[in-house]
Amino acid sequence: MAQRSWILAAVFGVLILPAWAQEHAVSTHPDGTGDPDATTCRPPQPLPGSRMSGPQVCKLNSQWALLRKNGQDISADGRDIIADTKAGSAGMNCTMMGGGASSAGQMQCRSQ
Amino acid sequence: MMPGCRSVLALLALACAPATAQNAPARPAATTENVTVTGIKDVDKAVTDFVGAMAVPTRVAGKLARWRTGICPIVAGVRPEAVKLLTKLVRDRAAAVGAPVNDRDSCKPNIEIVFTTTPQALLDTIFIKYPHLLGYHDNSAQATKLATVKWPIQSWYSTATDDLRGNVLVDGIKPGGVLTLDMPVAAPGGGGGMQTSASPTVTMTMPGAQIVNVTGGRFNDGVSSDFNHVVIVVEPAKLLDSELGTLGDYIALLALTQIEQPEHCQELPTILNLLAPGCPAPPKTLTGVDLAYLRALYKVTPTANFHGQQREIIYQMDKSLGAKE
Repeated sequence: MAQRSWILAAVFGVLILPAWAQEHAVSTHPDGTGDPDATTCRPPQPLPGSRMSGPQVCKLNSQWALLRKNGQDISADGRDIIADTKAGSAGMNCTMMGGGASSAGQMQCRSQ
Repeated sequence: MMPGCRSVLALLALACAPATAQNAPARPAATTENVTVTGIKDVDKAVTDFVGAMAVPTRVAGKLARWRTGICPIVAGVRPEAVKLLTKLVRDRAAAVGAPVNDRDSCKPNIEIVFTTTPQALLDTIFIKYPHLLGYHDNSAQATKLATVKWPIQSWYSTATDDLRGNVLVDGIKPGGVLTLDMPVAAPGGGGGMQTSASPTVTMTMPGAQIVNVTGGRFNDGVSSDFNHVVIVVEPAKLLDSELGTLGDYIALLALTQIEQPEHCQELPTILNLLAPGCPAPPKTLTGVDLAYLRALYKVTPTANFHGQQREIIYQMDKSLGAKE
C-alpha cells in the first residue's frame, strides 16, 4: 500500500509539476511591483456592453509597471492599451484647445 | 514575419502623428555609384576601423544578419507621396546592393518605417505589446534599455537563426516544452572507448531549449543570421534640416544592415555622419563607402564566423575603394 502511494505520488508529481511551475501571480489591478521578469495575470474582466468576459491578461511586471507609469491599462478584451481609469486622473483638469473643421485640436491637462 | 505583425501595423499607424515630415521637400534619390575616398592617408585602416565600428553580430548566432527573404517596406506617418518615395527608395537601394526584394504590391511588410512626434510612446507600446520586435533580450532590464529612444532615426532588429538543415528559429522566441536528452556516460576508467547499448546514460532536462544543427567547424559552423523584422522610427521634428531623400537613404542603410549608430564622426564619408554630433557637412546621400559596405555584406559567406565575415567585408570594401590597388 505504501509502495502504491509512492508510485502515485511520483506519477502525480511529474504530471503536476510543469503546470505548477507555470503558475503566475494574479491581481485585479497589477501595478508592476515585484520581480520585473515575473508574470502577473489579471483575471477576465466583463467586456463593455456585454455579459461576456474578456480573456485573462498576463504580462511581465516590467510591462505592467510601464503601463501604470504612463497612466495606462489593457482593455478588457486584452487587445488595446487604454487610459487607466483606476489611476489618479481625478486630479487632472483637461480641456480641449483649438480645433476646427479640419483639425482635431489639442488636449491640455493641468493638475488641480 | 512573426504572427501578430499585421496588428503592429495598425498599432504603429495609430501611434504615429503625421507631422512636420509631411512638409519635408521630396527630392529624387541620387544614385551614387562612383567611389571616391579623398583626404584619407590610410584607406585600408579607415575601412578596417569602419567595419569594426559598424558591424554588429547577432546575439544568438554571433553572425552578421542580413535579409534572406525579400524586403517589403511599409511607411506610416507621412503623406502618401512621401510614402511612395521612401518605399521605392528603400527597395531600389536594396536591389542595388544585392539584397532580396519582394516586388509584389500586396507583400507582407517586414520593414516598418514610422514617422512620429512621440517615438518613446510608440516604443513603450511595442515594449508592452510586441517585445520580440525590440530584438533579442534575456530579461526586462535589457528590453527596457533596447526600448529607449536615443536617436531621431533609430532601428530595432528582430533576427532569426538559420541552421545547417535550413531550420529557422526567431531569436528570443522561447519554444514551449522541455527538451530531454539521454547522454551516454563514459565508463569509469574508460578512455573514451566505444559506447554500447549497455552503457550508462544520464538524462538531461532543459526547459525551453532549442536544437540547432551545426557542422562543428570553427570557421564555418553552418549557422547564419537573418533579419526577421525591422522597425525604424523617425522623429521628424528633430530632422527639419534634412531632405526626405537624405532621410530615405539613412533609413535604407538601417533597413538593410544592423549597425551601431556612431556617437562620433566616422573618418570615412558615410551617411551615418548625418546624426553623429559635430560632423561638418555630412553626406546627404548614401556614399560609395556605404554602398561598398552593403554590397560586401550581401556577398559575405553567411555561415562564416563573425571575424571571417568582417575580414570578407574589409577585403571587398578595400577592393571597391581601391585601397589595395
